[in-house]
Amino acid sequence: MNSTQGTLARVTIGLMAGLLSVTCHAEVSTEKAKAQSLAVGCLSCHGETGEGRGSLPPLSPLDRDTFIRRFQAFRSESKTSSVMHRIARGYSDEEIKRMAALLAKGSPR
Amino acid sequence: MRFSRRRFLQQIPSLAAIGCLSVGPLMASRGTPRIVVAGGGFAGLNFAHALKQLVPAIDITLIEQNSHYVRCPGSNQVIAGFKPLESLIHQPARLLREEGIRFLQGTILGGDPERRHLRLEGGARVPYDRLIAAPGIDFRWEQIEGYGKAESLKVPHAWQAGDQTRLLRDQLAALRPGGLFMMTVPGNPYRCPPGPYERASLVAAQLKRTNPRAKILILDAKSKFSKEKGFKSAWTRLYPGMIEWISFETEGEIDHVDANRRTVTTAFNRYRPDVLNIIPPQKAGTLAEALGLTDDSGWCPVDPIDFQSLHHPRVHVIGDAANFGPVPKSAFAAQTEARACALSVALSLADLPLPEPRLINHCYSLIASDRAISVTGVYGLKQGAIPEVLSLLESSPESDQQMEFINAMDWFELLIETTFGKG
Repeated sequence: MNSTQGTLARVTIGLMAGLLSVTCHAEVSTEKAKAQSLAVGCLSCHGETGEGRGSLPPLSPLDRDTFIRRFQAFRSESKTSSVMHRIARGYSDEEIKRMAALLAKGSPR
Repeated sequence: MRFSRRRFLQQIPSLAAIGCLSVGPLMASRGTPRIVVAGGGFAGLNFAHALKQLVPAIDITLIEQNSHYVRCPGSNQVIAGFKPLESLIHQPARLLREEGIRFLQGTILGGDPERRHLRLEGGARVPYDRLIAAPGIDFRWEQIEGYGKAESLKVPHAWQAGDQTRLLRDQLAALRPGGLFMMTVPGNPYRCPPGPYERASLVAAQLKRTNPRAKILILDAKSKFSKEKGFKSAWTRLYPGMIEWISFETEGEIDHVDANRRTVTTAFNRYRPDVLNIIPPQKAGTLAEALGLTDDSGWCPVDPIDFQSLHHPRVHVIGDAANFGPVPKSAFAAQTEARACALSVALSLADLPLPEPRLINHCYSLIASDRAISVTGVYGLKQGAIPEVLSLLESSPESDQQMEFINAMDWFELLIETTFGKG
């Protein structure tokens, strides 16, 4: 578990217990907000829950590693698609990881 | 499966968590902040949906002039006679009610950004803590001599959907055999940059069946256009000899239009088509001007971090009316802007730092009744301040065009459902 995931997980638990300090809220939400902000564009085609639609595949069943690997493969055009290779060019490795932490299966709930 | 917004919150509670965190100083001192959304199109509706998901307790009022919305995306299919006009009409009130968003039908005359309220026709005042202005576009009637609002009732623009869509559709359906359909296209920026060329393509697709000797002439105020390569190769392949595009260099500016005689006069020629479609130069919707949100360009300058107006704090502008640098004016962009803006409003109400927005515009154009091409842009901020293009690529090999059509239909269904509700 990397530090981002660790922080997110801790916060989820903290929120449930209602024990978090305001400072900690801010730190965590900033991390989440960055991921949410990056992922805004994903939802338009893959649905608000990543459920997909018809020919537009769902994101929610992908585990984190698959999400990251596929995204990177689109970027290097080793995996083909009519669309995703064009979108993938606009995101760095770090940003892809952030989005995976939000959208992929097994992300902190 | 019934689409459920509740499910979204359950499945991605990280978003809901921001809602839980939104006990910022504003809420603590003044109660629930009042959010007012002016405009019920793609930008306004998607903002309201997204903010309500992020902060379920928030108080949102959406003000829209009409009880129903007639959408532009898809209207070229209606104009070309492939879809009924009714398919463009949506009534979002039910979805808003289900979400707990107040829908107020009314005409906004203006407002006071210092005292933070809007003035409605009939005298009512609507106070707000944050205003989200999504007024769409209006036309610069003065820019083409001889073409004003009154003339558009004879010679349609069909660039706002509704009666104009019907008028152009009916005129095209009555085009004489071998007749000429002429479109004039403005310079950038305007709503839906590839829209005119999609219109020409779909009209050609219909005329090829019903009136194969007919011709389409596009008189452009530009010397290049969106998805030019894809459109031009489709025209050559699918509609050989039917569509002619005339660039600014060739023909120069329109000198004047005579709506009664249906003529367009340029520096070099006079055209007398059988059906004329003038797409006028555009600006932000008149409400933006009334609220003092526009600059000399006619569009609304915004802080790209949170879409806040550079003229008035606590007023955000999204959708076609906003000037967001290179991001085109499309429904796709409006939806991503709306969601990004909702996130930044939720965070700022909770007094949390704002991330840089990352926007996507992925825009499909139909080139036939079963084929599409697309352009995809990803946009970020240079040095955290200036909108820039991170990636901008056009499709589409011919082998992808039928797949792109299927993708386009699925995306479109999703867009319509998330914006207006199901059914």
